[in-house]
Amino acid sequence: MIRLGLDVGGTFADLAVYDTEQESFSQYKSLTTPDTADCAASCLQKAAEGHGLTLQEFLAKVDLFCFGSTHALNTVLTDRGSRVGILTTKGHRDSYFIAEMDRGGYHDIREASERTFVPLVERELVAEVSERIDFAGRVVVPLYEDEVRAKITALVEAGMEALVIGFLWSHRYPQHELRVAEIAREMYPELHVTAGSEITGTLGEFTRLTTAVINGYIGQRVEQQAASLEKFLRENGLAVPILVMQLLGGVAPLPEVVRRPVMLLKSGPAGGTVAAATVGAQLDLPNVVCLDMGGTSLDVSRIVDGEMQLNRGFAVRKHPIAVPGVEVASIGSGGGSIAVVEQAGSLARLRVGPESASSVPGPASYGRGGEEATVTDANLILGILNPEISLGGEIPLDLEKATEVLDEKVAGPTGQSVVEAAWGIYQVVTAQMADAVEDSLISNGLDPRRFALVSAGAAGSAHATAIASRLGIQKVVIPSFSPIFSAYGLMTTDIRHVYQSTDNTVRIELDGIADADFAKEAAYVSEKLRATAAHPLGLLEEESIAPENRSVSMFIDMRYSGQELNLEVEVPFATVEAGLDSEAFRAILDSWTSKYKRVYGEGAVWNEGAIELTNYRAVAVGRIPSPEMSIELDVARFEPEPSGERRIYLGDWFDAKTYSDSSLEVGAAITGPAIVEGNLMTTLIRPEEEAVVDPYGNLIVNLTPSRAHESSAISSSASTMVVS
Amino acid sequence: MSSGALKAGTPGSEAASDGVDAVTLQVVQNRLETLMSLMTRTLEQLAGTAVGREAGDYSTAFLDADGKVAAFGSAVITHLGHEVMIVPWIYENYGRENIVPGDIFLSNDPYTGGSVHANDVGCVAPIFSEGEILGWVFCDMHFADVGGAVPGSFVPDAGDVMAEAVRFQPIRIYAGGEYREDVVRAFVNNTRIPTRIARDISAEVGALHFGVKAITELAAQYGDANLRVILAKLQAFSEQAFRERILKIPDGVYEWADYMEDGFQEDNVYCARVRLTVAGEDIYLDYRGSSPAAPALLNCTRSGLIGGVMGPVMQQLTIGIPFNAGVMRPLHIRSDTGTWVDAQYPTPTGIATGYGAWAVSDATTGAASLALEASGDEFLRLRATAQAGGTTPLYLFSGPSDQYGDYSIFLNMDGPGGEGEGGLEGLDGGRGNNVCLYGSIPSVEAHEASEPFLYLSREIWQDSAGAGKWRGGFGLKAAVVVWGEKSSPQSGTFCTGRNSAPAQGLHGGYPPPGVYYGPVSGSPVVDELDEGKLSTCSEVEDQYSDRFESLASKVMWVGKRELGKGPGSEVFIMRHPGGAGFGDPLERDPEAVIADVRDGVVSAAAAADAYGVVQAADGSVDLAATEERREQARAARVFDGSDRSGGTK
Repeated sequence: MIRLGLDVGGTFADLAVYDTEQESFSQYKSLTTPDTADCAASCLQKAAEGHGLTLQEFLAKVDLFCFGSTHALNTVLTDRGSRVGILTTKGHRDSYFIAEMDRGGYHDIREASERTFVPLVERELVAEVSERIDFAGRVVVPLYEDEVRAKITALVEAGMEALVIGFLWSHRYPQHELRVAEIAREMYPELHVTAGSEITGTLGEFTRLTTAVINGYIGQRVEQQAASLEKFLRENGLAVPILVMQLLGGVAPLPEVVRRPVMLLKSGPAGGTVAAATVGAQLDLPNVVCLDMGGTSLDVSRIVDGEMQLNRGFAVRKHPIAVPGVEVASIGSGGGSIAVVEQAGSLARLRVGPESASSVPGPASYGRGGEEATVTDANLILGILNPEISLGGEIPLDLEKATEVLDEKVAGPTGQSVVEAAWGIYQVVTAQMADAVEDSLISNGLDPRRFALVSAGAAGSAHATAIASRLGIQKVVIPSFSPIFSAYGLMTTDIRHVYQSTDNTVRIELDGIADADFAKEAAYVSEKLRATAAHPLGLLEEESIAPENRSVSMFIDMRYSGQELNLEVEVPFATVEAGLDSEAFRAILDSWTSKYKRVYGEGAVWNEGAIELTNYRAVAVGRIPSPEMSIELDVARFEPEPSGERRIYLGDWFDAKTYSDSSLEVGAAITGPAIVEGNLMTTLIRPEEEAVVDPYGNLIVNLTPSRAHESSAISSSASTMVVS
Repeated sequence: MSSGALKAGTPGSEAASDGVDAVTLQVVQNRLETLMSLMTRTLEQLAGTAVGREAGDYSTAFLDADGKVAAFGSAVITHLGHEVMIVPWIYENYGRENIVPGDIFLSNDPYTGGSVHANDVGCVAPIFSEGEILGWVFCDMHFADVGGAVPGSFVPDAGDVMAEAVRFQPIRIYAGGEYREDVVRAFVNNTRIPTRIARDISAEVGALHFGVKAITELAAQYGDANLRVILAKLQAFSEQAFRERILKIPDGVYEWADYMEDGFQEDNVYCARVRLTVAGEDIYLDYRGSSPAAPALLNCTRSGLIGGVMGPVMQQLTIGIPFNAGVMRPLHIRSDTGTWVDAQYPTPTGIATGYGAWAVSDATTGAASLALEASGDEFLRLRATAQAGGTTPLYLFSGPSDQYGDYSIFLNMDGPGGEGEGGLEGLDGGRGNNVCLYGSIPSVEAHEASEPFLYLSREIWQDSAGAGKWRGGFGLKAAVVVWGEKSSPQSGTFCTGRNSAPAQGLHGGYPPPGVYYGPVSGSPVVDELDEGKLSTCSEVEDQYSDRFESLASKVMWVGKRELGKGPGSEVFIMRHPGGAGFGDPLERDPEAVIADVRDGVVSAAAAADAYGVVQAADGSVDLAATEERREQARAARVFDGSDRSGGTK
């Protein structure tokens, strides 16, 4: 049988194929086209041919089909969504436009106004109805259904294509929103309807509203694409359910995702994180930080104790999305990042990014009109990239052009040679990426030295070991399927559903609480946890996931009274099932308190006042059984034949052996300085580093502790390129 | 430049003897910036009161061994006054040699450690490397209450700073790593909400622990001596970059005066006047023409003055240049002690941030905008701005009980967050102002979860955006009633500096309307809720305008008056100002005016009166009628010699 992971990105569609009989992986790429079905067709056709089958024969053998796409996100980024209308509580029509008056932290007075919130909904399509719930969830003013009907009709007549319902305090009392949704669906069965409280139970009417607005904005587009994809696949013989990657790093059946399309946002990076988790599990690495460096940005995500880390939301076009998702931090460092020399008299700074040459015109070396010095150009000049190999097999690299531009933009102004300038760019961007990794870990109380680094994406592996050594990371993994990392993640994922409920009624006074009262609170929390878990478990039930393949992780966010903190603590599901008694509840509070001290330090605790419980979260997993693979990681090593040799500059000139990545067999052991290259990826192995190809085809680089955390090897060796 | 300084990059030059190059400078600068933002994030997550955090009223900094700013993580720029003054004070009074690792000082006195007003409680910790002070990390945050005669510590009738609040000169809350709980308790015991205030202090300690650790690791990575050199070079870089930028501004004198009215105890207008002189690569800022100190709490000390200057410096003059002590070197600030922008001990300073320091910021923005406009450099020219809404109206409510039965005290911080930016050339003003970098306002639900109020509505205040070819950002208005079973009636202290002296436009741009606010009494609005009728702020204003009482710009109700609860009780209406306009509104694209009408920002009446735009019956622009109306409006501006006094000669 065959398992497929198809990831449709902005530029390329990637397909990962695992043949369970042959136990073999293969990967395919094709250019993205506007219609997802076309795109899938072209990728799948290639794969079928690769397996010597017709498309129909190929699809008939598929027993797992997982799909991810940036289409939903691009719909938002390119203004291609539906005309959304909003029905809200009387008196709060402007809430969406006020947008919490978020200024954004800009240091440039002009940028603050240029980048202010821009609505996706026209004000004429926002209507109010009389209804009001208060902070305690009590009805102050009831709903008038006649008024609701009249307002919905007026919005539809004004051109509304998707209705969003956003009432105050609907997470405390959702009945009004749900009733309006019911009425709207009765009145206009074709209308796309989103009630904010159906998607998120978070506090804050603006945040629930923006989450619902994005859901409504992309809903119909997602439905159209889904219908077209499904039609194509069914007509060509796919029999299994179509599973779609959601932003929380797990798949859900297509019809469920169509109901909550907002879950599709960022499904690409989520796929990458899943892949990193898979790699970590295969290699017995519980703590993994994953870097995905592309042309314009770097995504950083982390696996801690084998678990993907979820955040509580993110924002798209300044619209907060209050849905837990895989935490992926992005910075503007990529292959296309532009280097700029900032000068002040005799002093200079070499800045790299966040401006990017993107893919059009791209780095100078693409020869497509780019006139700025980029990271890719620098890596070409340093000899890390091979001018003889076309990028992705399609874009030849022009060394002469790169040299000319670097000379003019960087070397000239700083008075250096071109290779020294290129080395400066390499070091700055590497340090920036190391900073991003370090921030993602230390701000969560994690020590980088306990992590392995997995590098995905086309551009990252030229920098991976340099980043690792800056941070004291001792193991770097360059997966064999790194160029199609997200697609691989799709294929190895499980079904995941999450539900989060905000409820801050439980407050535990620290100066003592009567046992009976404490027991009462424990009972409340117990019931709350059960109710929260019931949501995603219900979905697994609907999806007919066998009970032995179901599991649930539960979390409670807590804070000391007055804080905005949401520090989570895990609650074992067995405890939830057994029912939480006082003792178990006390244990949870203690576990939270020690985590707080661990993360923020003893001195950050003031043990008076109260601890408040804020969010209850359930992540339910429906395990997709995967074929048993027990691979012995220890292999006999041998020295492979290099494909050539070239001079590279890393603060000094080195003669590096080069290896073609397609020719490296399991056990191949390489000593740096060396380059492993192919048309999708180039890996730099620095002097004294040793790499070996493991049984999965991954390239593993072990950095010795003495070399690791070299204090400032990068900057001290940099003294050769001085602006002086 | 000293001999150790880096020289210009001449082709073929050798390595600098100290090995500090363009790469290292950038790498360390990046690192410092991210560490500051992580430290700030820690602070805001752990803080115990909403006031500081939700308006972004907090800051962090890394100071060098002399206490000069090495990196800045501030959200409220005014705090820079505290940042630059605290360490020198500690050295001078306690002796540099007596500082040991593990010390943490708390500071909130405007006249000694540099706090801008007593509510800004800062903590600072030294970082040691190889036995020597390498630098300091610093946090500052607005605490909701620091004692004094009235809740919230804005005390209108305080005659001096002693009567305003508890004030601690820099004092150790950790001594050599030993926690001094007695000192912390002594401080929080003088406040009305000791647990939350203690939590705020703990949050600062948590952030400082993070900062000390992070900077210590940075020193280990680069070497202690190397890091000192790098920090010095970063300051030298910033100084030089700023000097080169100043050279792009023509030499000259640029003047601006900003006004705020009413000092609680009298009806004076207070003027912050600046003479900004550009001379070569230096800028002289002279505030000596400002008004004498007020008898009540509007004044700021020298630290507030410095903090006020830094807003426009950061956001208009030094964009893109690493912000550190280097950018302060070309600036020369002069003031007269005894004026309201450089108050003399023991003049009260309770709302210095919102008044004295803010007026300095607005005046400096005005003068800087004139100077920038004179520049031939387009980037600089486009940073000239009309004024943002201008200082927050302060709506501070208090009472014996909130909806949970706890002592009730809160400052509505929709003010600093909920105002509009000024217009700029080619760009309408957005959201916020140039004091609170991270300004934003809580959701209505967040308000109602923590305050004993029901928000009948929160709306865009129509016509609050100062008209202009590029209009200001809009302001807000909201109507609230006391709510919650356990809630008591609410008293308070209210003030605005922008009733009769709103923010100023540029090049014929209009000011926004003055801020007014107050209760509507004797309306059936609260009773009608029980009958299922909801009223909005606009409806209440329309229907009960005769029952609206516009309060004076500074009012203290505590002990005198309160908002009731239940049947027949008052509705309280609050406003937050829009920004001023840029350029003549008669030149605004009529389509943009119509779009503003559609979006509820501009009324049809203002579209016609202020912008001269005439709409056809279908709502589109009647171009011919618009041009005619605009011509008439222009003609009416020309003084024809006639008597316009309305009287007879």
